[in-house]
Amino acid sequence: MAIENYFIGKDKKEVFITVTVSTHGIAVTEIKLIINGSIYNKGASSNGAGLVSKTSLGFASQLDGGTIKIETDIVLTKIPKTAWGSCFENLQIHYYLEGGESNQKNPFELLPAEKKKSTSGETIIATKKINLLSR
Amino acid sequence: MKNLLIIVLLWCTFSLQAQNIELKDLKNLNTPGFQILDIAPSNIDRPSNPKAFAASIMSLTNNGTAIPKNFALEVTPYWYFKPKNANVFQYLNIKDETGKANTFTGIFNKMSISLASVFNDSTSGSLIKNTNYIAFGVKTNLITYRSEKQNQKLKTALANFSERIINLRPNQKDVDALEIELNRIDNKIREIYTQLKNEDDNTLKDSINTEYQNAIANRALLQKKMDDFENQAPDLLEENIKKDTLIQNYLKELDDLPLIQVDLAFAYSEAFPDNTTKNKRFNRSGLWMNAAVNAFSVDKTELNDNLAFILCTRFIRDNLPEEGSLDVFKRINAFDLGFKLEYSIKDLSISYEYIKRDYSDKSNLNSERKVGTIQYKISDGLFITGAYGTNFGIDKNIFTLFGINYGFGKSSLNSNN
Repeated sequence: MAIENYFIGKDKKEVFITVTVSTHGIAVTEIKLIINGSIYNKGASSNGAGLVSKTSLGFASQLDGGTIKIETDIVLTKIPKTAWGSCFENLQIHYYLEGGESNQKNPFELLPAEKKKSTSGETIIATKKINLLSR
Repeated sequence: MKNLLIIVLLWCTFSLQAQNIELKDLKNLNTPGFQILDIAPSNIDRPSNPKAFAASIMSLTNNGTAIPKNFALEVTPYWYFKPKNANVFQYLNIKDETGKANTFTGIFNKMSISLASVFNDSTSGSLIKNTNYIAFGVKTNLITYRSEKQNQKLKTALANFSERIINLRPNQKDVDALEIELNRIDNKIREIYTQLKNEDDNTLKDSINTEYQNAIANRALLQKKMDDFENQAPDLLEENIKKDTLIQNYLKELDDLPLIQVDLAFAYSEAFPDNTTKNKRFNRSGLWMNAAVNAFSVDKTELNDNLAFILCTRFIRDNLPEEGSLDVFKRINAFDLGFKLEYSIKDLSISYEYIKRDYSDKSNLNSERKVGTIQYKISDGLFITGAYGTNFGIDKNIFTLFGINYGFGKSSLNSNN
């Protein structure tokens, strides 16, 4: 799947991310930054709703060439089995990035190819990757 | 009939979910569309999409020439919408992070609509032979209220779940290593591409282009590996969750009963003698309300016990044949009021229910239902139920049950059984 790009600009601005998830399942989101041969945990949701409130990824000057990976695991155990298919179809995740160049796509949305479900349909994993680039 | 056709058409607007009935679905056959007809359908049809639904209706109606008979459909419309700000707090009726209570969110998201028909060649119970009975029902959860302590407990369970699941993600080391490699190669591709773009010497350009093509090919191989990991991940994560005792305990804590729960149901049915609209008549309608208070436990942690008090009310309007006749009918109203006291401890529950039935114009038929029930959960979704007591009716008939029951009995209003 193609990775989308976010242009962070050349200023020394701080770049932030916010993630919102719309599902009735239990959702857990984790944000990782992959850069210069290392992986850094940048934050995770902690309340079962998958929400990650505004979190700093670092300063633009340190982020060029990095990739952020946002993984959301959704467990539908408490939802009636008959609704699991609809929960998969209707899942919405928004990724808001701030601090980069203006007039860019915002928020990024979860694309259909970025979500996978288990054979039973009870577990969904949504993975979004965004390249952070300066130009 | 027009009304029923409208209902059928409205039904077509929902995308329905395919599912075969499972044993656990038999526990609570309290879907009002089925209850009002006193039926326990062996198969509830849930076509996977509107097209499948239309096809199944057409097959039932014999190419549109007859009223459909012997079917049972159920749908929860909420799941076919795309809610913008749905979250687990709304579904479990927990206060959210902002402190907003989700006491009434069940009204729409737990509403279900049912449509059913039963046609018998012979008279059975309150159902007259060669008559097609069609019913429409709706039920919902009006109120689910949790105490502060319960809210806190469920929030803690969700927080613990969130922390734990991250450790259960499969192949994390391999995936992380691949992510680093992919990031490295992406940067390399961008770098080579810039060189290629800026190079004027054709010989050097060819060499850079070869390097570029190789890097692209390497990336495709890495991406293939990553895709394999990502495709397997949901099944592997689910397997890890099922095996993990800690996370299963957190999920179990989310099943805690709310302090107060109020459910409402309505159903309406009509009868079509000889399956035609010529002599159609009103058959029965009913309005149910159950209010449960789960207020007491001896030791919730160790015993997982709960004492529930359930207040039950039901208003029924029936259209019954006059004595000795099968084609002269009389409308009769009845009001049920009662309670159920239920104590559950681990997988066992013991309950007693008392319901008084008053008739609008035949007080000599007023009666009571007193039933004690024991239910044992064999496994998730599989229950054995035994009940003993007296059912509605002017003669004190003994009521026994071994199987599945939800409480209010299935006799018609003036039945002596």
